Amino acid sequence: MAIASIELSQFSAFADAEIDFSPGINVLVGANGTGKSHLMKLAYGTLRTFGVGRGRSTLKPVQELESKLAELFQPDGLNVGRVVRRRVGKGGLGGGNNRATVDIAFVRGGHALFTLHTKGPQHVRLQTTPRARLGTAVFLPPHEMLTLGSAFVDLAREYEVPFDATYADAAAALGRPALKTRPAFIRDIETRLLASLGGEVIREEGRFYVRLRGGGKMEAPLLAEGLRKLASLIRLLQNGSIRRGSVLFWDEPETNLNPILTNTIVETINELATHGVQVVLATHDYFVASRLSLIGQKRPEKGRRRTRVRFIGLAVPDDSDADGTVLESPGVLVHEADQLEALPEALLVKALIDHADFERSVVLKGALDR
Amino acid sequence: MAEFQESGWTLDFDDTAWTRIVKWDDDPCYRQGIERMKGKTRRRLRGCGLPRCHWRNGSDELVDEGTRAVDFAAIGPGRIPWLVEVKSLRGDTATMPIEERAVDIAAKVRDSLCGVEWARPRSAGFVPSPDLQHVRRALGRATTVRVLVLFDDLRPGSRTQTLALQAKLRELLIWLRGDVVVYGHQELPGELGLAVS
Repeated sequence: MAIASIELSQFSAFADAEIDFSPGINVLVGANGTGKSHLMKLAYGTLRTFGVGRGRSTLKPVQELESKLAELFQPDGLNVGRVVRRRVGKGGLGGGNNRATVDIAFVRGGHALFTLHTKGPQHVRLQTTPRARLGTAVFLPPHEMLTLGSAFVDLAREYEVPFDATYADAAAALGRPALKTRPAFIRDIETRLLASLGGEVIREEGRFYVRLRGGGKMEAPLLAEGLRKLASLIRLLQNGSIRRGSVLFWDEPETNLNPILTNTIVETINELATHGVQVVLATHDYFVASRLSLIGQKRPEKGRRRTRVRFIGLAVPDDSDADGTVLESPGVLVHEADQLEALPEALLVKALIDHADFERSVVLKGALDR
Repeated sequence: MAEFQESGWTLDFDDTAWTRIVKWDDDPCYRQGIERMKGKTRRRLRGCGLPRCHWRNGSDELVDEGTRAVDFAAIGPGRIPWLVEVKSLRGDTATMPIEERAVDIAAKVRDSLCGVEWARPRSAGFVPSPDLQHVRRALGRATTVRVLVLFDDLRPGSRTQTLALQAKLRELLIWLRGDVVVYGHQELPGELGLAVS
């Protein structure tokens, strides 16, 4: 069940924001500290609380939501009220009981509407729950979890570890056994990814290995991190964690990948989106964003659906007026567009231009050592 | 093949791909038409806002409001209208930042669309060539326009300059709903039907 929209008030860096999501690929772009990861964790935490991956919990939904958000954001004292937006002055943090409002709408699934409070016995108050049980959600953090495996899941369950819940959840999802039968589109994607990896992903006694095409097997920790990420994706496809109707959150998929593997991953994301997987990713990479932008504009091949790509640009506005007076920040500005270039002042384009200008200044000054 | 000289380069357009080509910035309809609109306007610039800065309250500056033109307006590959601009990294503008260069080319595209649209037979002294009339009609019907910029890269193997220029131009020309492609002179794809020497 895909996310249709998210409305936020006083949450994290957002003052008031309304963001529409595409059922296909959603690309979050913006500088550090603009709330990309917080937005993804919020949506993921909600989906996990009301989704089929919830399991047999004895907690009430509101307790489970509070606990999940606390595990994801890891605030001091696991007080999720700390993700309420902090304002300067009277009524700000340390003042009254500030609150944030979150309203997440799902396609054909109703809403999850809740408030977060800085004070009080309960930091989360649930007002509306989704009409139906939501689909599965997977969150892939920037670094791979294949090497930590099931031992990490046990550790995170028993002890306070300095990793947010996305890591333990990803490790737990990887630990599931492979499905006996898999849809044709998953098998196609798997075949292509296995060719890039150079072998099969196997699990023996809780540890992952790659059985190499040329013979022999290599334990996951000896693989390059980029290849481990690829192997993780293959595993999640094989065991049905990523399937039609699920939502895949991926924070900086390009981290530790070589540029060719990055393109393979982007093409895989496109394949998944055309087969009903909603993807929400955050990137700082111009080539990832630009390629996804072109994929969204490309005329689909005969018999195939166009991938719907939405760019969500987050930016912190200039907080001073013309005479230099510092104003209270209006919160992160949200811009939505169907292509990268339509976002105002895209940071990724700026970085590319900055590099081109630097190259020109060095070359034209004759400052390169020959 | 139709051969043109531009910015020190010789451009050979293959006539199977490029059916109509107008050297727009030399065309009489440009020279005697929209190019005649020249002048300067006074613009108020925002001050930097810093205390004690004499620019704090802003200043006035005369800004050139002249009309510009792309080098070629044509019907090219795909039988659709193309606007072609040739840029060289040599000469006075070598140090121009990418963003300024992109704004300069985008303004040429804007002015050229306006100028070509107005280039209709209006008087004895203002008769567009048959090629220009074809290009104008194609632009009127088109749902997409391709903008091709030929641009040098500074170092062999580097596409930084062309990529950055292409990215900024796509941002500036988003309203065009067209395609903007920037190629180095040495890396033109064969299907473009254009050779530069």
